[in-house]
This record gives sequence, structure tokens and C-alpha cells, in this order.
Amino acid sequence: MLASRVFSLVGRRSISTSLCLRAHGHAGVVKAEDYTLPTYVDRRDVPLPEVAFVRDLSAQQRALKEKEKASWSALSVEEKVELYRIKFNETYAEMNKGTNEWKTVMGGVLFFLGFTGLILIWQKHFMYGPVPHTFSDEWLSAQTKRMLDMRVNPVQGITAQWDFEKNEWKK
Amino acid sequence: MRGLLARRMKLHLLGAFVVSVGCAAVFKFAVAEPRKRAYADFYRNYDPMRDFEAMKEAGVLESAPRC
Repeated sequence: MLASRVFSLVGRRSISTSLCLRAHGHAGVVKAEDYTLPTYVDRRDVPLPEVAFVRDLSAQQRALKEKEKASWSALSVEEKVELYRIKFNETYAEMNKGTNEWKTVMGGVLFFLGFTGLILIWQKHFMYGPVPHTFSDEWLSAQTKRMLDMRVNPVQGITAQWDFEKNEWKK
Repeated sequence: MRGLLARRMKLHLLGAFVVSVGCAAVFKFAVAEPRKRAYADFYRNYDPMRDFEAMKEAGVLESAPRC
């Protein structure tokens, strides 16, 4: 409501856009921009696109289109293929064809994983200090012995793998 | 070109059914059944007092020391 009030205040003249100005000079019809027209697409789920692939036909192609209006059995195989190529860009087989992109992707991924591995090796060698003393062999064996004494996970876990009679791991 | 979705859906429906039932069956017979058997075997001749004495001897029980 308020917008129409502004309209009457400002006057119609200044509202004209550039398109409208152009229209006043060309019999009142605005030229359709390319992006507003139907387009051709090569898509699996669009078997018949809105427009043919070739928009501006050469003289030869126009003659072929005239011949198409007669009986189709008169057309040779090359002419039929030419008519197809006028209407469509790629065949379904060409459209669905796979690429070798996956090799590039895999190669890149593995390369950077390897590079990360090199970084980790450098870090372990040059940057990190020693591991805590609780990772030493003596501490780990004492730790495991205590777990077995406490009967940790006796059904399917660590205590189930220990033979208490022979005092060794089960085979 | 007809019935593309119908055919694909039929195939995938059947496949999904087979795969999910298969996964359930594999899990049941590779994980669940052995686990149940392991527990049954463990508790069939289990003597808690024997285990208690063993743990006490090893010295891991704070409220039941060896002395």
C-alpha cells in the first residue's frame, strides 16, 4: 500500500528501467536475453531437451531438415546420424562414460597421507620427549600380572587367555 | 526406457533386504551365539570362593589382606 503511495509521489517517469527505455525504441518488444531462453542440456534424466543442440543451421543442414520432412526410409545412415548430431550433443554412451579422475584422487590422497607420515616420523625423532616410565617393560609385565590376579575379564577377555595351572598364556 | 525407477527400486529393495538380513544373521552366528556359549561354559563350574581365595593370595584385595 505504501509502495503505491510512493509511486504517485515520485511519478512514473523515473521508475523506467533501462530495458523499458530500450523497448520504447523497438516497437515495444524487448529482446529476450540468452539466459531467459530454454537451454540444451546433456543429462541422463532429461532424454529430450527443450531445444536442439545446433541452433543456427548451415545451408547444408537446412537442406537435410527439409529432406527429413519427407519419408525417413529415403535417408541414408550418415544423414540420420547427422540429424541426430544436429539435435543432440552427446549420445547416452558418451554422456555416461566414466573418467579416470578416481586415479588422480586416489594418488593425491595417498601422496598426502605419505607426506603426513613423514611429518610424524620427524616429530617422533626430533620433537617428542621420552614416553612415561609406565610404558617400560617391567612396569607393563607387573601391570599385566596384577590384572590377571584381579581376574579382569575372565569370560572372553585377558584372564580367559591365561593358563593358571601352567602359569603361561594359553596356546 | 520405461519403468527405469520401478526396476531399479525392485532390485535395490531386494538387495537391501538380503544385505540387512544377512548382516543380522552373520552377527548372530559369529558374535552373539559364541558369546552366550562362552558365558554358559564359564559359569557352569564356577566356584566364586575359589576365585576369592586366589585373589586374596595374590594380595589384590585391600579389605582382605594376606596376614
